[in-house]
Amino acid sequence: MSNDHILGTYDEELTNLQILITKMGNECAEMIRQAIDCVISNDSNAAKQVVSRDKLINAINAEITVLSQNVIALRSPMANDLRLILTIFQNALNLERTGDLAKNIAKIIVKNDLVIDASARDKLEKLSDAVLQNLTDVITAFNGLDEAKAQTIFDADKIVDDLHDDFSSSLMLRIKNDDAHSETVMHLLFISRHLERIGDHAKNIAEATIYAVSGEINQLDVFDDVQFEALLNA
Amino acid sequence: MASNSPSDTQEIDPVVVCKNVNVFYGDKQAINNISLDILPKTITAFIGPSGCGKSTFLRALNRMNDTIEGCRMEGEILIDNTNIYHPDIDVVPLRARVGMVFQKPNPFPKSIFDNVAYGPKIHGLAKTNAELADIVENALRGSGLWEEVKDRLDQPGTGLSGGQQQRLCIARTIAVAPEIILMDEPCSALDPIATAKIEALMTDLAKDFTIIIVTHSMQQAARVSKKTAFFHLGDLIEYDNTETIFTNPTDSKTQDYITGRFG
Repeated sequence: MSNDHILGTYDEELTNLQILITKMGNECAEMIRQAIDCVISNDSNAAKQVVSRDKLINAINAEITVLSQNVIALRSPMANDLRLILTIFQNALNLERTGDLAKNIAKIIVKNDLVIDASARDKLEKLSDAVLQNLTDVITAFNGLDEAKAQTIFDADKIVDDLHDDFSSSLMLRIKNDDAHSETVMHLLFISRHLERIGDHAKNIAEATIYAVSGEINQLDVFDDVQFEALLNA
Repeated sequence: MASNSPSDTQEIDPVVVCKNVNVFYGDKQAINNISLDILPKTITAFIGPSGCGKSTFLRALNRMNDTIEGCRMEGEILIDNTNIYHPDIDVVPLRARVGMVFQKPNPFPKSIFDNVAYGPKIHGLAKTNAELADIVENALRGSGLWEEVKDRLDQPGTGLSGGQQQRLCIARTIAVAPEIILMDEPCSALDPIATAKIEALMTDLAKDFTIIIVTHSMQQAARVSKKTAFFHLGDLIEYDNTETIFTNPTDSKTQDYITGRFG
């Protein structure tokens, strides 16, 4: 049986949405990569360009909102089509947040001169490499509706969390020891936290990918109906 | 093959139990060994592409197929544990018990009152004219038509609008106090407003009646029904809660049909 809809224009609209979300994901990954490069090179001019790049991310998000709204209103999507559109809409919100976090990282460099030693640089690069790998993997997984690949993100995110914990612990230790570059250390703590949050958004996209493919919603059965009602009314 | 019971309601006793139903038109088999339970006081939708057997299966539920020459049925259909195809079954009371509303409104060429009164009269449901008037009023109220026609009950039913005519036919059906109402594309000849009124009415009627609707409109099935059965080429492909069918169906054929990939 053909995978195409009887209405070719419906396929075009869904394809457009998929192209846009992939483009948005790739833009976000590039923006994060550039933001980290700016941190490492302490380049405020390049950081300004990263900040302005967030406008493109926001514009793609707005476009996805309008196209999703139109497809839902005009095509009455069902089953896997409905799940795909809901997921694209949800992923766009997650990606938009990763764009904001990348912008926040870049803004730190616009406003401050950081002095990063080899140890901090090493930990920052390891963390940002892991986060970027997860984000690009999950974008690929969603693009190919690859449930198995999406599943790998959950373990990979634990590695991100460990790297963040390691980096932030080392930074906290430096604060306790009255490090001469305490301002840099504080900013690196924020950067580490921003990267860890980007990792969480990648994990959200992985969950959404699994929902798009299988219809299964994570967290749905954490509470039974009675517990859920009690929590809602608490 | 699909389960014959919707997944989360197996504790409720079905009102209709269909066992290994096969229907033939001459040599051609239209329904292939379908087993299906219908739950009481629930709206069940039959969907599927043209020629899938959904209307044939619907008509099997009150033996309307008996009127089609060359049509033959195998298997059992039990309503309240009685096989309606047993030789002792009289189809006239059966069709009062399992009423039917058709695609095109088909009021009798009689007054509005007589359209509704006809069934109760021939089934002897009213002893007096006052009782008959009560049945007619209640049926017209039940079909949401009373306020629109109470001052012109003596006017021809054929003078009503299409939507009103269909509600008159629904009043005619419920006037004989059926247990089950079969609806074969009841809104396909109606405009969206008249359709919305019929759909709202169906939801109200489902408090008292079991409703089975054949519809080509998947949106209509999604809006009104609690259970949906998908038919294809005479097979029952999938039968489940309507929410499940339209959000996460199990069978790829169901998914391809409801998402507009074939039909």
